[in-house]
Amino acid sequence: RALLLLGPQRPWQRLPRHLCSSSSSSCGAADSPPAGRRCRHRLVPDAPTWRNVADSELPPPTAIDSDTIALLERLSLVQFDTADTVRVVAEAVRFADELRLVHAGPEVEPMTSLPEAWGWRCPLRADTPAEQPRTAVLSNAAETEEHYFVAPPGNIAAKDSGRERLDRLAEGAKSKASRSSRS
Amino acid sequence: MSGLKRLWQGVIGLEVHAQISSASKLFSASPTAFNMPVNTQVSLFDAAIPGTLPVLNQRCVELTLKTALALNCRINDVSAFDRKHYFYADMPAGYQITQHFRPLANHGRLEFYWQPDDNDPTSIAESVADIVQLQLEQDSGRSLHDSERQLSLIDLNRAGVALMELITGPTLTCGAEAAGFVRELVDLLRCLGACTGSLAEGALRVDANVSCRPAPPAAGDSGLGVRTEIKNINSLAALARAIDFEVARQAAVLDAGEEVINETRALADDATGRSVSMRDKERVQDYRFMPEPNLPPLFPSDLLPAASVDLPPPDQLPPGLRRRLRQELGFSYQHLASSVVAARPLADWRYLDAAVTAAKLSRPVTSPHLGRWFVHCFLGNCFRLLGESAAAEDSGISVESFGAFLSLAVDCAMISEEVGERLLERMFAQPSMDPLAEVQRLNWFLTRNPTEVASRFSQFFHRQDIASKNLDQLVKYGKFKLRGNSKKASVIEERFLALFMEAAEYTVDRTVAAKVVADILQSGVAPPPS
Repeated sequence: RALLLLGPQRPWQRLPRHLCSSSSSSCGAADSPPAGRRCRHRLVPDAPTWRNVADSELPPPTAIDSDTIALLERLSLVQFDTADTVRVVAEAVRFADELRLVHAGPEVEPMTSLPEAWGWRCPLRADTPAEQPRTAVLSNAAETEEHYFVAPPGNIAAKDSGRERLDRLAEGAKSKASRSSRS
Repeated sequence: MSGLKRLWQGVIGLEVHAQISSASKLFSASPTAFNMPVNTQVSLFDAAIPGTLPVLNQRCVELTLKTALALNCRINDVSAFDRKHYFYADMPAGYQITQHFRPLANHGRLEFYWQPDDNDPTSIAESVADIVQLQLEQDSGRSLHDSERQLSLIDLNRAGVALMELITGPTLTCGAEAAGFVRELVDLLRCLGACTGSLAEGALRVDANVSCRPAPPAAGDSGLGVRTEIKNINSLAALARAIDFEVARQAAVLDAGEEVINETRALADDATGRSVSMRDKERVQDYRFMPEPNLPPLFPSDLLPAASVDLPPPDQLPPGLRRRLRQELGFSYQHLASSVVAARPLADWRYLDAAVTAAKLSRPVTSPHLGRWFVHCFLGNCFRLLGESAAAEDSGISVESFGAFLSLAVDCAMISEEVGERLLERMFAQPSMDPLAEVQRLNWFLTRNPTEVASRFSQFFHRQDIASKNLDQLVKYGKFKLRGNSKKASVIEERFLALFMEAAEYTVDRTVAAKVVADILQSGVAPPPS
């Protein structure tokens, strides 16, 4: 489990200018760092650091049982068809568990968008409508009917499972393909 | 609700989605006009075509802030948008942009009146609803389901239109109270110009969260029971019935010792309020809320000046206006709740106020009939003769004239209700008329003296046409009286009373006349010689 380093750039050339701490004027177009002067943010280490995370440090692995599979299938509309898929999901969850070891401290607010970190406020638009040509929006749709988009039926019976619905979707797609190939 | 064991008390919270009256959608420049051809108001962003980004509509934020101010909410310093993920064909992106974690405003209140007893029109109660959260969100498109051909037809004209979501706390107790709240909210939103408020058109959608708890609550137990959500409500009456039905259903379930299942129910029958379960508890929904990364946070204080520039003061907004009409002028619920109250210009209420002063009625006015005279009769005549957009002053009837009329008519002080209506019509025909002089001229004063009423009735009774036409009635009356059948006898008494009142042009007091009629008929059982 290793983070990939960037190419053979000089460390100080990778950072935006304004993140250089103190005396940023010294970070000019020079190819080599000024003698004895750090040109990086104080939290960026001088040399790359690796730390292998032992399995025992992580919280207990999340069990992926059949109920969870059914829930994930329904939420993501992705079909878990083989046991290998389940193994891959379990490994991905384990990989993400490492994030629980990161402690940024309670005073650090999570950043949700980059513009927010730059101090941007939500841009606002005047309430002026503009005409929208119908052809552009409908042009990607494989099937339309009297300018409506055509979609699979929305009302699913309560007893229906995600797998049955996916099967029907696949059948519908196959029959539609065969219909369009015949016509 | 009679017949119900008073063991359980309803606990109701409402989620209201109001479509904001803006010219374009919340995050795109598509028009929002109603009933336009299919898919003609859909931008690339609304159809979730990749490479598009949301840009927030300033007018939508201003209107929501205006509503938050009118509801006395605490406006948050920073507000942000979030994604709510679920798959449905009428939501192309697979998520809805809403405000889950940091909405625009919290902790507001709305005061409203409602009618606790359907059968008693004078019953009235006052309540306060908590507005827990007020936020902006996107609307989804519309889908038409064709079960025969196993497909849905999707129209995205409505997808992306701005909605204002209001969530109330669980403080409402029954259907009538919930309907009263929504009625007041609709009037407020219309007055602010934020929403057209039409439940039938779908501009305002209400979902009810209903649970039960023991009444009175057990000491130390402030918990809430399992709740169900009712959707698909299209009118105020249906809302009240659906809530009452669900409270009764849950009470029956709990009385039987079973547990209420947390589920979503759809209103199936508007007339009875019966709802059916849409989903069962196995289907857990996980919306995976996450902050919207394409929208930096919003600072509502930047827009507060623009939002509050044309906000009326609290006593001129519908809740405050209704409170003054109730407390100072004694309006009954029937006239308070009328949408006329919120729709009339304020000048009309100033006119009424001045007329009440001119009539020298004591304040606070305790008679419930003032509302009837002004809202029903006066404004009714205005609408009929001058059109709906006319103000009260356009009638030409001066404040003093109307005040004189009120002093005659309120509580039947000097003229009866029927005479009052006729007098008002005459005043509209001839606005400069002095009502008191007119009543004197036509001798329309109300007679209350029993002797006088008796003599007038005798005169009426012995008129040739009355006696000849009603001979058979008198004979029947005699028979009923002899047999002791008082119910049928009183029917005949009422018939004579009605004829008498009409002949006397309603210038006699009804209760006095009823007694006089009964006395004379009982005493003179034998018909007069013809």
